[in-house]
This record gives sequence, C-alpha cells and structure tokens, in this order.
Amino acid sequence: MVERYGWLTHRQFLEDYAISKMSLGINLIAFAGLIGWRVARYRGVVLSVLGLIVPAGIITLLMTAAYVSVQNEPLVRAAISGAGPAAAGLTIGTGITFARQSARRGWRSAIDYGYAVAALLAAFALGARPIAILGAGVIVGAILLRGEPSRASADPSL
Amino acid sequence: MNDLFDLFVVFLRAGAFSVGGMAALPQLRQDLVAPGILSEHQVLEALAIGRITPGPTGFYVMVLGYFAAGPLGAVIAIVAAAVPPLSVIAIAGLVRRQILSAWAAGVVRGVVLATAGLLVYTGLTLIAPDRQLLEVPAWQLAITALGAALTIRGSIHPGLLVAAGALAGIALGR
Repeated sequence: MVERYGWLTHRQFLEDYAISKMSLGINLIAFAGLIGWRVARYRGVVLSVLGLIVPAGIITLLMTAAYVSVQNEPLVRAAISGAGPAAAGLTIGTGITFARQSARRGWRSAIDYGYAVAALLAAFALGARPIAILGAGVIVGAILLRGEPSRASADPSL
Repeated sequence: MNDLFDLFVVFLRAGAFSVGGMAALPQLRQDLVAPGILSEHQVLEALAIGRITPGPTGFYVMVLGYFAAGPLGAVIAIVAAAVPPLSVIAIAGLVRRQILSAWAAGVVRGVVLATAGLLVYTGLTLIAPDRQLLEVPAWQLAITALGAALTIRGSIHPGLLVAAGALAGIALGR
C-alpha cells in the first residue's frame, strides 16, 4: 500500500499499525479501517473493512457448515483429536508470544513476565474471571508498566 | 430473538474487553461454556477451524457463533466482533497522540500481559476438555507442546500447524 499505490507514507503505515496493535478486538479490522480512512474517509473504511471480512467470512461460514455436517464421522473425529491439541498449543504459544512482545527490555522485563505469570496463577486459583483479571491489568499497567512502546508495535514483521 | 441479542452482547463484550483477536477467547469461553451454550470441545473445534480458514486471527468467533445459533449466529458473532475495532478508528481520529503516549502503552501492556496469562491458562485447560490432564494421551500432549513451541518461534503458518495436527490425529487417534 505504501510502495505500490502511494496511498500513505511509511510513517503513517507504522503509526496506524501501532494503533491497531493496541486496538480492541480483532486488530486487522482496525488496521484495515485506519488505512481505509486515510485513503477515502468513510467510504474507505466501509470498503476496506468489508473487503477484509466478507470473503473470509463466507469461506469460514461454508467450512463450518461442512464441518458440522460431517463432524460425527470417525475420520473427522480422529482428525479433530489431533487438530484440537494443535489449536490448544497455538493458544498457549500465542499467550507466550504476547508476553514476549509486550515485555519491556532490561530488568523491567522481570516485572512484566512476573505479572503475566501472576495472571496465569490467578486464573487457576480463581477459576478465570477474565474481566476481573484484565481490569486489574488496566490499573497495574497504568501505574507500573509504563514506558517504552511494545516491540510488536514498532515492527510490523512481528 | 432474545437469545440472538444475548449472543450479540456476548461477542461484543468479549471484543470490547480484549486487545487482539485471540484475546477475546478466555471471556468467550466463560460466557459460552459456563451457561451450557457450547461444550469445551466445541471451543477447541472452533479454534482449529478458525485457524484453517482464511481471514484475520479472530475469525474463530464466527465458528463459535455458528455452533451456538447456526449461520445467523456466525454473522452476529462477526458483526459484534467488528464493533470494537471500528470504534477504535473513531477514537484514533480524536485522540491519536494520546493513544501513542507512554501512559496508554502502560495500560495496553497491563492488559496484554494479563491476556498472555489468561491465554496460557485457556490453552492448558482446553487440551483435555473431557478428562484430567494426566489421562490425556502422550501424543496429544506432544502435539500441544510442539504447537506452542512452533507458534513462539513463529516459523510455521497456524493453519499448517492445525492441518498437521489433524493428520497426526488421523494416524494416531483411532
């Protein structure tokens, strides 16, 4: 988008990327919308977000419908018995990646990792009340975890 | 009709209290599994299917919506999930500089680190939805560990990882 169409500068691209990384919910929707806004205001937002969601959404819908219609076949159940643990592993890996990308450098990384582990232990101890744990995250973050922006927001390749 | 509105609220709330597509998972799991709308196993299925299909991370919400209420549920899920990121576009227009400040970075860091812990918890407790961790076959634990390690290294596409898991399941899971 920067090099091929010249719609926005490299700096604008990185800034939008940084904001979308901090976005609520699905980051790519925010990213597509922010770029769309720069290119063509409201029309750009609508078109870029629909372009992101609709084709992939239709495919997801069809694949889910197909899965539901065959989910009790022995072969499909066997496949899920392997795909499920892989998805669980992905979830764990994503969590650890979140921590690595978000933690600050130097000695303060110990605080940050310790805090993530505390959230994990709290989930086990309290039976995971996500909103409570995330709410604590807002308060602790504003007070204790300020400073350098996350590494992820500085580098789109992450 | 009321149920569909409730479903919309569930997906909206999970999106609004999370940073990133995967981050909504712990809240969605709690809101959908605890009331008995979905089973733990369906959450895991939705994650696997959502990774194989194209589209941004976070499209597993459509699969969850489908499991809960059919095709309309899937549409409701993605529409609700799109509201929080779209609202960010409006917010970014108003307070762009403040969003990029150190203070906001601290808040986001607090939420993302808490999410990191919650996601690890969710993954660990989803490996074996139907049984104790000790009863899980070793090959399934190995796939989970491998999946986590490869995701951290970032050297494999998530869809490929799930597909490889499915093949291993066909070979070992019968």
